[in-house]
Parts: sequence; structure tokens; C-alpha cells
Amino acid sequence: MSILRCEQLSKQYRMGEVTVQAVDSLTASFTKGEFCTITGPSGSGKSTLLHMLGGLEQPTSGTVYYDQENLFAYNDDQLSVLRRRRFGFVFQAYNLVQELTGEENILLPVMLDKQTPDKAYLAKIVDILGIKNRLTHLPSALSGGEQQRIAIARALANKPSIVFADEPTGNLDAHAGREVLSLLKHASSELGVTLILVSHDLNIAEQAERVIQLEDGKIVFDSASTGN
Amino acid sequence: MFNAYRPSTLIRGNLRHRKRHYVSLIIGILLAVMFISFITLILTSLPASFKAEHVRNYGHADAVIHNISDDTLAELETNGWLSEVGLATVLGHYSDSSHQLINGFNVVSLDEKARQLLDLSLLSGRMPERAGEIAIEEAVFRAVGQSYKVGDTFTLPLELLAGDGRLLQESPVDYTFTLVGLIEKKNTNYIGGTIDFGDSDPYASYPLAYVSDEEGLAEGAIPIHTGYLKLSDSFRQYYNNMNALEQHSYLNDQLQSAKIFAYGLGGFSDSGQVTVIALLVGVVVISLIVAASIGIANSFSLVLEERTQQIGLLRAVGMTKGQLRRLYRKETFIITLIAIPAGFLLSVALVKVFSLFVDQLAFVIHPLAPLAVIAISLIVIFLTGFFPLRRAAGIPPMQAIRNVDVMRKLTPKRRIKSHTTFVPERLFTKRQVKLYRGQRIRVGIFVAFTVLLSVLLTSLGVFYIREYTQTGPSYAIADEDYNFSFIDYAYLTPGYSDSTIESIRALPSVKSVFAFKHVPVHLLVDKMTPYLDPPYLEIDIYKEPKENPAKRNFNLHYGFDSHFSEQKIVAFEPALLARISDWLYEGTIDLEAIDQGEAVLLYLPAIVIRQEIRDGVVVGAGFGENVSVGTKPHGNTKILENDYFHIDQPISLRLMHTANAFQMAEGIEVLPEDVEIRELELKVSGFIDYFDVQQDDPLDRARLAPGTIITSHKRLDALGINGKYQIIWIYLDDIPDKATEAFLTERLTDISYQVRNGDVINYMEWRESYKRSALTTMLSLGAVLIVFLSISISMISHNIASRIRADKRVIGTMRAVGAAERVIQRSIFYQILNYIFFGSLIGYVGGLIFMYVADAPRAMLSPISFLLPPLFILLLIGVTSLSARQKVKKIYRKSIIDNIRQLAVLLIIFLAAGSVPFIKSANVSAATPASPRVLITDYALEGQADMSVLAGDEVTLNLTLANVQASQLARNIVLTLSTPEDALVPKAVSSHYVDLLLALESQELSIPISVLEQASPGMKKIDITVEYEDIRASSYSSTQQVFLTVKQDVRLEHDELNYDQKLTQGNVGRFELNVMNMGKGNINNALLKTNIPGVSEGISAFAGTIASGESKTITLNVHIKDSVSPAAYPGQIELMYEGENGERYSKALPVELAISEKRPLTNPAGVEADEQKSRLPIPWLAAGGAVILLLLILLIIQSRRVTKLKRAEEARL
Repeated sequence: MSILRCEQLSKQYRMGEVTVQAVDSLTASFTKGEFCTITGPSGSGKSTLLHMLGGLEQPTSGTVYYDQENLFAYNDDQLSVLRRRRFGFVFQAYNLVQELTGEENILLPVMLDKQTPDKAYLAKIVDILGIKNRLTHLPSALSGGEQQRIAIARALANKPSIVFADEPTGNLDAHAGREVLSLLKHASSELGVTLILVSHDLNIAEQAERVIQLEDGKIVFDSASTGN
Repeated sequence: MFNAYRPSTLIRGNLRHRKRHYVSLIIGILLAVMFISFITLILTSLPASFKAEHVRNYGHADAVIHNISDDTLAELETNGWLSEVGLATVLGHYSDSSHQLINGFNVVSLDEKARQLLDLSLLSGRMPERAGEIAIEEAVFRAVGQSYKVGDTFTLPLELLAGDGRLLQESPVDYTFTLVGLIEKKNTNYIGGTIDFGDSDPYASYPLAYVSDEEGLAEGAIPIHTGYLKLSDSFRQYYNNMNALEQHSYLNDQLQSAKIFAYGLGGFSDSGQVTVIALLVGVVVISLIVAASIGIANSFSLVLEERTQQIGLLRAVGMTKGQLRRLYRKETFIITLIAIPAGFLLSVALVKVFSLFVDQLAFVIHPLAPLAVIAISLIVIFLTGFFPLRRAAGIPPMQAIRNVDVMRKLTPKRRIKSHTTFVPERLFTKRQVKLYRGQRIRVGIFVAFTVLLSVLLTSLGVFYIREYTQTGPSYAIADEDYNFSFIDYAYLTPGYSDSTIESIRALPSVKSVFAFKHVPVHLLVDKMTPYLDPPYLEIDIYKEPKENPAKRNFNLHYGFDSHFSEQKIVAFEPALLARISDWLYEGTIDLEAIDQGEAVLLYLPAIVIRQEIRDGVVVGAGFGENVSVGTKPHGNTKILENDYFHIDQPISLRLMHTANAFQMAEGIEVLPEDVEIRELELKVSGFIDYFDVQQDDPLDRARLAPGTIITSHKRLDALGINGKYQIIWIYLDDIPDKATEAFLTERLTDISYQVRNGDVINYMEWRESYKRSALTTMLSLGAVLIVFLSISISMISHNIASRIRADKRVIGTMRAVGAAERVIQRSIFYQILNYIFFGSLIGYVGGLIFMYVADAPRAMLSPISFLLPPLFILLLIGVTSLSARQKVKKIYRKSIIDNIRQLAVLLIIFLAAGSVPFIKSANVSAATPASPRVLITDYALEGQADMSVLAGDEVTLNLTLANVQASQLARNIVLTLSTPEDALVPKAVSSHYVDLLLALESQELSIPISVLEQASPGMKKIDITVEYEDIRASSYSSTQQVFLTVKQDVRLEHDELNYDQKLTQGNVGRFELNVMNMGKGNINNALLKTNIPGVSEGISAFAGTIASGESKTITLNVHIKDSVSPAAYPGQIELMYEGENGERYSKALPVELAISEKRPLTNPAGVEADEQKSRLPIPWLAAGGAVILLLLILLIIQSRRVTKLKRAEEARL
């Protein structure tokens, strides 16, 4: 059964007199525990699609359903609650809060939800990601790979059902990128989390169970529908 | 592309793309400039204001000399002290017939210069032009006893007095005048001080009436002139020097009661006062300028903080610190071009409004004022901008580019404490507080200053309101002469009597009248104690005794500096005496006993402070509340209670009177010989302590001093002391209308003139005037407070807005991880509270402490004084919170991704400034990434239109590598090729390096590649991994594919074409061609096709696929039709085939057929022949069968062989 579904999703941007169709009437669904990569050339709309699927951006038209509920029927507060309880986000530029330590960044969604952290669970994530000794440092004292791992831990902190990763290895060197991807995959599979990852790198795409290829805002290839 | 540009381009870019930041900075500077300008305009207007006030009150003259002599004039001219002089000639003096009323007026004629200098203001009519015409000041009416209108004619008896007061005529001379004009009262004659007939200026202090200079003096009259002088600058210098030497009296003697007005600071001639006031004003002005500077410094710091990345970038590309400073100075100059004129104009409007409320302020824009404002503002702006810029330019470039070194700021000395449980908005605020401490301190100082100001101004405002809006007496009449140093009750009968009170009570609207009799007495010291002579106690006991031997003796022996002590006996009405019981702390108030003279009350504070020095001898004492400076509790001070006076203790008083002057003996004032003494024995029945009454309480006016003896009117009369009233206070039923007020004022004025120097005080007018003044003061102070509040609000809002802008990405991140809007709003609110709280607390407490230390009147410390400043603080919090709230809401209106997306604005500005056409031509995609993107945008094989290569070839792959990002450069670019090993091999290294690609820059690379001989045909993929870094040394990589098509050579060899040359009609011609595939790839669709015109065209035999190494025989049968005429037919057999990639080949094999006629077949034998013919030849059949069998076997073998070969080939591939 699909956990996340979009129907006729479209997004237009106006850049002066020019209208750019970033995503064009796109329909797709994602199942629980799936590892899916959305790939495509630069400007194909993959990040835009990801942001809309995660409720970070409003579509121009179309709907996104999470657990059969229309995501954009929620108000801002409800979306915020959904994001911190059900979704996790990993960005290319890490987007850690510079003023908080690694540990505090990880705990941020938990604290926003006013929950008591599940220490055993968090310890497990930290262990998987190999960042135990870096938790009390500020982001500026961490390398790119370490920061991204903190970001991944943050995304997983509240036991989300879906993790959205937008070019998680984009700012990393090849080695760090491979490592982070592997950790992300491992952590997600260990925890049964649906992982939707955007990357332009085909090598990364090849590692996913499912590949969706976008071009000019449309799906040109979906390995799920071709049975590959 | 790549047009040259100047730094001004960068400035324009900054201003264009950071409008919001500059608007905030401009507003901040504008407010500060407005403040500086406001102060400057007020200060520069003051001299003009004072001058205008002076002219309004006194005219243009600097000095007035009565009875001025020619000698004096000559002396002044010789000294060069005179600038201008006008003369008034005294026609005479008017006074009433009793000569006991000194109210009168002088009649004078003015010369032209005097008219100019006096600058009289006509209320109606005109100035006199002919003899018999008179114009008078309104105040003259009182003396005359009635009022006149313009046009009235009346007779005035005028006396002429000499300078020493002698009458120069035996009797007054009557003059008849027609009133032609009424003049506004002007103090043209005022010199201050008291009237003394022994003085040389009998004409001083009278109002004037003016006649024309045609009016002649009476016969025998000696002209007496009053000189109105404008003094020269050299005199002013001289006067200031004399002032400094405190030689006033010398000067005054010289100029004979001249009153010199120095209109620099309100007419003060005392340089000490001027210095104090100048100092106070200077302190206030400097404080306000410092406060304004803090505001500007804060604005600059914020803007530069937001520009740290840009600064780092500019430094990284080679801009020196000096160049950077010049650049930002130019920017600042542009900002000041906007802010200074705007701030100045606003302040002009503000001062103009201010001047409407303050009568004394004549608003004049001094020509130098704008220049002063510009100069001060520029100095302040550049000084305050200097340090933040210097700091920003000094940050190492990469540190600046990375912006806020969070770790360094958050953990200066130790590691930061990480929390495992926290409230996000509170923790975030706490970290922000630590991070931006400098900002908070700056803002906090300003807020503290504002709140402190609000405490002071609120208290002052409350004080004013209470002080000047309270009810109290409506009028008072006073004997200004009641300041004699000796009891002269039988001599000049000073003061008002009981009949005066009766007259006043008879007036309409009078509700009550209050007065007390007050008799200054002298008491012989041997009958009194030191306690009752406060002036004695004011002797500075801290001085070394040896400085004043007399005082030394005095100190040691409770001595007095005179043989008598001055005291007061105050007599109250019974009702007031009864009220005093509230202040009684010992004894009783027995009205009857007091009336009968059996008792008095003594005003005697309960606490006495005594100080001992050296050997324990008491050297002085003071009263609790009334202790003067120098006798406050200090060191050995003890607090004592009264140990001298007791209840029922008799006091002996000797009242003294003498007309002789006192003498000094050994530094002590001694009684003259001829003294009238009256002995009194009084018993003290009660002690009164100092009390605090409301200002409108009559008892407040009693102004009791320690030692005052209090008794009743009756007793005073019984003592034979003709007590009089110095001041009588009048209370009305209600606030009268104007007509009633005018009437009462007139009547009371008449009554007041019952004494020599009586005067009427209209408290209602005073209160009105003070109300206006209080309102004006409060409005102006309120304006100052509002300006400060505005600046505070602006500073805090600016800081918060800057923080919100800088934290937009953080806000986006928080939203992305699930923070609701209220979390962010709360965080911002906590930050605002942080900005305001400590500053407010310090300001509030500081203000209260200041009030305490400055010994502010209790009236200033009302509940409103305590409550209003917190309300201002709440206003500060409220307004800044609302503003911040809207800014956060604006961020929330955008999507989370818009918040997170951190556009490289710096580089955009920088590059846009320098290469606008370049930027304009670039395409900006919908999703602009924040990092550089290096891609292979094109590739081709050198010298080829397509991407096919032949096995065994060497080709050059040309790549176009481009940085497609419009705003980021990419560096350290490494390309790594990964080729299919069985087909393609890079000829040289597999990695290629490119140092740098600027935004939108591309570079061509040529990579030689070898195609292996054995490469199987088909499309081959080359993976090209591109790894690169951005300017922050962050790494990126991407992989792209380049596809080449490898072709193998197509080689189809063949034998010679076998065919029958000679054919007959109806025959089938056979063409056989043995072909062999000598190439590496398959040959497809091989066929033979006829092209023999007239015989056969287009007939083909299809052979299909011929694998590499395989041979095949293609047989083509052609039926020669009967219709073909016998002849020779040349033509071709075409061999056609295709390569693996579909390329087509054909080869024409020439043939020539000779077609002959067809011979019919015949048989005469008939059937038998048929039968014979039809009988198959068995041997041939057998042979044929054997051949077929052989062929079959061969075919099978061949087929197997081909299959085997194919399989082997496939296995090899």
C-alpha cells in the first residue's frame, strides 16, 4: 500500500516574464519502506518534486497524499507537526542550526514536539552513523560528512515514516558521499523508513530499489512501472 | 562581457540589492541626525531667543543710567564703551497728594535714538507728535486711579526732583495732555532692588508716560536725563573681565546703577551661574549626542555584520583594507546625503512646533546652524562607523566569507555546554544572546538611557502637574518692604493691618483670607541657647579653627558672632493655632494660656545633631531636618535630643530697638549704646516639630524656622507689639471669569498700595502661566522622550530585523524539522525581551537612585513616577514585538525552501556590479542551486560529424566543460574517464585537471582515445566523473556519460561470379557467387540482384546474414523469357549487403549474356518414344542421387562448421 502519493502534481515558477514549468502533472506513489531515487538532469524538477512531496513547498496544482490524507489541506501548524513526527529531511547544505551543538540539532524535532527522547533509539542511530564523539561540537567544528551525518540523525530522530533527502551527497567528496549514502540506506532499512532521495548522480540512482527519472518536470522512466 | 567597472558600480549594486538594509540604516542615522540637529537648533536659537526676550522686556538698550551726566557720557565715550546712546528727558514725576504712596510714574520725552532703542509696542493709537499729547503705559492707570481711553484729555500735576530727591520746584506744575496712544508695559526703567530716597535715581522703577520732544520743561526746571545705552564689544570684554574679578560694585558705581544685560544666557551677570548652566547644558547635550552616536554605531555594526561575507570576498580577490575602507566611506557618504538633510528638515519642523508652545523661544535658524549640524553629524557618523568598519575589514577573508565564526564567539574560553533536554526557542535565544553580546550591550545602553530619562521626565512632569495645577490662594497682597533688620514697628508701621483684611473680605467672590502676624525680634544671647540661631549653626565647622580666630573662640565657647540673636515671633489666628496641634510632639496647646500670655509654643525640631571635635568639646549643633551643609552626620557626629528646653520652662526675651547702626568689636557685632529694650517672660507650653504640608495649605506659608516663637494675635497685641501682616492670602469661591478677575485685580491693587511697596500677586495668572509653562515643558520633554523611545524602538527593531534576516535559513530549517510559527515568534520575543530587560532595569533603578541622590522633592516620587516608566517599557516591548512578528510572518508566507535557499547574494552583487551584461545574458533556471555546477555540455570527435569510430582507430574526444552556475566559481576540477576496457582506452592519462572555472565559464578539453582492434561493434559508454570544489572548498562530484559507436570494418570478399553466358529463350540462367565475410562483424541482408536490361531486372536472391569468417554461395536463377530477343545483353549482377550498423554496401559485377533462339523439341515415333522418353535413366538417377547425397553431407558438414565457428566467435565476444 502506498504511504505517499501524488496526483497530477505541478509547479510553476515565474521568473519575470518567463514561466518555468518545474513539475508537470506528475503522478507517483511510494510504498512503505521503499528506497526510491529521483534522478534527472539539472533543472528537471526533481528537487521541486521532493519539496512538494515533503510539504516544504506548495504545488501550483495537484495533490499530495500522505496516508490517504491531503497534505496541503493541513494548516501550517498541522504541517509542522507532521514534519516533525512523520517526515525527516536531509538537505544538500546540511542546514544545521549553527548555534546548537550536534546533539541539540539531532534532538531538535523531539524537543519541538515536547517529547522525551528515546535515548536507546538515538544511541542506536548515532552508533550507526558513527558520530558519537562529535555530538557536543558545534557544526562549525565538524567536517561536511560529519555535519551531514548529524543531519541524517536529526531526520531520523523522531522515528519518521519517510525521509526526504535532497542531494545529500552533493556537497561532499566522493568518498564521504558514498559513506553517507550507505549510512542513510542502512539506517533507513534498519528502521523501516521510506527513503526518497534526489540525486543527479546515476551511481547513486543505481543503488536504489526504484529509480524515477525526470526530464522537464515529467517522469520519463520509472523502474517500478517497467518491472526493472 | 567583462566590461571594466569602478567601485561605484559595486556601491550601486549594494544599494540596489540591499535596499531594506539601507532603509533601516538611513532611518537610524536620520533619527540620530534629527536629534543632533534639534539640540543644535535649540542652542543656536537661544541667543536669538534671549535677545528677543530682552528686546521684548527691555528694548535694545544694554544699560539704563538715570540722571546721567555729561561727564559720565564723556567718560564712556572716551573709554570706547559706547556704541549708541539715546536720551530721555524727564519732564516730571507724578505721585499722589499724600506722598506716602510712592506709586507714580515719570513723564519723559525721547529723542530719536531713545525711541529706536526702547522699541515700544503700541497697543492702540500712536506716539505723541506734538506738545500736549501723551502716550502712557497701562501700568500708569493705577497711579492715576482711573483708566483713560485714547482721545481723553486730562491734567497731570508733575513734580521735578533732583538726583538726590530734592524737589526742584515748590509745587507741581500742571500739564494738560490728550491721550493719543496706549503702550505695552516695558521694564525700560527697571533696575531691581528697593527704593531708597537717599539714592541717586529717584526715577528708577516707575512706569513711563511719553510726550513729544516739543513738550518743553517748566520754567526754571533743570533737565534730567535718563540714558539708554548700547555698549560696545570692548566694554563687554571689559565687563566680563570685571565680572571674573568680581568687581561688580566698582563697575556699578561707575555706571550708577546701570543694569547690564548679557543676553547669552538669560541675562545673568554672575559668571558662576553662567558656568554652571553652561556646564549642565553641555553635559545634557553631550549625553544626548553620545546616545545618538550609540544608535548610529549600532546601525553601522548591523549593516557591516550582514556584509561580512561580501567584505571577506572582496578581500579574498585582492581588495586591500584601505580600498575597502574607502569604498564603504563612499557608501556612507551617499547615505548621509539622504539622512542628513532629511533629519535636519524634520528637526526644523520639530523645533518650530516646540517654539509655538514655548513663548520664550524665538525660533531662528542661525545661518551657521545647518553647517554645524552637517559637521557634527558627519563627525559622529564617521567616527561611529569607523570602528565597526575597521573591525570588519580586519577579519581574515575566509573567516569573513564563512561568516560568523559561531564557535569562536560562543566558546571564547571553554567548550559550550550541550543540552540533552531543552525548550528549542529558549535555548536558541540563549545562544543568540551569547553570540551577539556586543549588539545587546549597545542597545541595552540606549534603552537604559531612555528608561532613565523616562523616570526623570515622568517625575518632573508629575511634579510640574502637581506643583502648578494645585489649588491654592487666588491672590496675595504683600508688603515688599517687610525686610527690615530691626523692629521698627513704631517707626514706619510696615505691613498690613487688620483693616486691610476687612477690606479684602468685603470684596465679592472672596471665600477666605489667611494671614499671620510675623514680628522679627532680636534676642540677647545671654538669654538664649545656640539652638535657636540657625545662622550661627551654619558656620562651617570643618574649617580649621585657626583660620578665623573669632570663630575659633566662638566654636569653643558656644559663642555667638553677635550679642544678639535674630528670631521671629509668629502670631496665628486661633483656627490655625488649633491645627498646629497635629505637629505637637511634647506639651500642650492651650489657646487660653497662649492668649493670656502664659504660654508660647516653640518650633523646635526634636532631633539635634551635634558634632564633637578633638577634645570632645561641642563645637556646634544643628537641627534634624534643618541642618545645613557641613553639619550632616559625619565621623564623630552624635544624634542628640533636645536637652535644653523643657516644657513649662520660662524664656526671657529682650526685644530691642535702636535707630543706631551696629558696631563690630573683635569681629563680633555688638549693640549700639542707645537701645530700647523690652523684657518679656514667656513660658514654653509645647514643642512643634517640622511638618510637611501641602503647598496650598496656608500653614505652608508660615515658613517656620527652628526657634520660632508661636503665639496668638491676641497675645501679640497684649504684648504691645503692633504686629502687622506682611502677606495676606486671598481664597476665592471659584475661578472667576475674566471680568471679575479684572475687577478683583484692580481693587486688590488699590488695597495693596496701602503700604509703601505693596504689590498684588495674582496666583491664578501665575498658575495659568505655570500651567502653560508646565505643559510646554512636559510637551518638550515628552518630545525628547518620544524621540528617545523612537530611536530605541528603531534600534531594537533594526537589530531584530537584521537577526531575522540573517536567521532566515535557520527559521527555514526549524520549519522543515517541524517548528510551528509560534515557536519562532516566541524565540524572537525572548530575544526582544533580552534586548530590553537589562537596559530597562538598569535605567529604571538608576533613575530612582538618581532621584534619591539628587534629593528630589517627594512630590516628584508619586505612584505615577513609578508606574509610567514601566508602561514605556511595555510600549517598547509591544511595538518592537509587533514589528518583529510581522517580519516573521512575512518569512512564513514564503515557502520553507525559499527560506532555506541561501542565495549567494554577495557574489551576485559583486558580479552583477562588474559584469551586468554578462549576468543578463545567462539563463537562470527555475531551481538555482547554491553551489557551482560543472557539467560536460558538449562533446564531439575531432574531425568528425558523428560519434562513430572504427576499431583500431585513434580518435580525439573533444569535451566542453562548463560551470553552468551563474554565481559561483568552481575550482580544482578533476575529470576522470572510465572506459569499457575491451573497446576503448584513453591514450594518455585517464584524469584531467582544470584549475578554475568562473561562473558560466567553459573550457575545451581534448582527450585522445584508442579504439581497440578487437573492439566489438556497438555503442560504447565512457563514464566521465567530474569532481570539483567551490570557493569554500566544499567538494562536489557528478558523473556523465559520453557514447561512442564502435564500428568494425565490413569486408565481404567474393569469388568470381559463375554464370552461363549463353542462354536460350525459356532457359533459366544461373548466377552463383561465393562470398566470404572477412570482417569482424556480421554482414546482414546479403543478396544478389539482376540488372540486365532486356533480360532481367530486379530479380534477387537473398543470402541473409553472413557471420564473421563465414562464407556463403549465393545463387541467383534468372528465367529467360521467350520474349527476349536473341542478342547479346550486357548488364550487372549487384551484390548488396549491410553492415552491423545498417550501413549499406553494393558492388556491381558486370555480366554479358548471349541469348539465342529457342529450338523446339520433336519425336516421330510417337508414344513409344514418349514411353521411351518417359523412362527414367536409372544410372543417371543413381549418380544424381549420389551427388545430392554428397552435397547434403557436405552441406551438413559446412553448416556444422559454420555453427561451430559462430559459437566460437560468440564465446570469444
